[in-house]
Amino acid sequence: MDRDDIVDQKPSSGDLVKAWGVLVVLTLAGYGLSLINTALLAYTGPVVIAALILFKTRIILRSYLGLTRCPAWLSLLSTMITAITVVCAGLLMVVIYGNLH
Amino acid sequence: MTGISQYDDERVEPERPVPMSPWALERLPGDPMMWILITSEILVFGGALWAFAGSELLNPEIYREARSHLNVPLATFNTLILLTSGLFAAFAVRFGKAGNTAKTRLSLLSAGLLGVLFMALKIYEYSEKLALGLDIETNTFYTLYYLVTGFHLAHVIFGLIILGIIAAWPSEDNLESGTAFWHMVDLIWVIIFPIFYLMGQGA
Repeated sequence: MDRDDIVDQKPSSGDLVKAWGVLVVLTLAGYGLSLINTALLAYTGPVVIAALILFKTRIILRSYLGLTRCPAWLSLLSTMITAITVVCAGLLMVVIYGNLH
Repeated sequence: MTGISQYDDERVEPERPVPMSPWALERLPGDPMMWILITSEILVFGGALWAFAGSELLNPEIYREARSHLNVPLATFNTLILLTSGLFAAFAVRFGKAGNTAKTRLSLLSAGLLGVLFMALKIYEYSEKLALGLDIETNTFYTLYYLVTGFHLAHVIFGLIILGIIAAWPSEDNLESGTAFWHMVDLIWVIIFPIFYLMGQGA
């Protein structure tokens, strides 16, 4: 099978702009979240921000990098990023739990 | 005489298409080596981020105090700049595939200029910290802050050189490989920014 035979599933320009818009909104949402200082957010903040990281990186991998045409690589890179993010958020949760108790 | 025609051996089987492995590097846009690089870069930055988060367990008070000096609005603005730069890089590939060299170069120039702006704002942020006396030796937080964001900034500079090269020779392969590197720079920052700047702000 030749490279040329691989179906090009790159998103259209409109889809790219939509993906960019979602990335901007999620970035601003993350910033807004960091401004709120409540006891509930002390526990949930890292989890929500970790979820935002995973959502944003997924958009970049699919729309910007065009990995929809190679799902195995999309899964590999997503798994690596999930592992990085979950460990960082988990460690911070341990610190926060220690501070509050 | 065995009953097998001498011509049987010469019969040619019709060529069946070999199914491509889902892991085949040929499926990936651009040069496969770029993807090996991208994967290893994610691992390197991931290790550094784990070290950063792990060190917080040992120095929670230092981290809390250090975070209060971070310029979160500036870093958020810088994130938006890099994401927009990534959009222009993605446009460049589309224009390149359509054979529109002028628009390809214009998109790459826009991506590059936004990259330069990111770099300038990052240097301004460093100067702000240094003016407060917060340098690489201040504490563990700032050692890792300068190392990780500085290493990322080195990638931005290298990415700008790559964007310049592919603007000069905008072949389809060059565009896909070069912009993949630029998107990787984007991707890494999207992970670094919340972990350094946002997580733990409300704690």
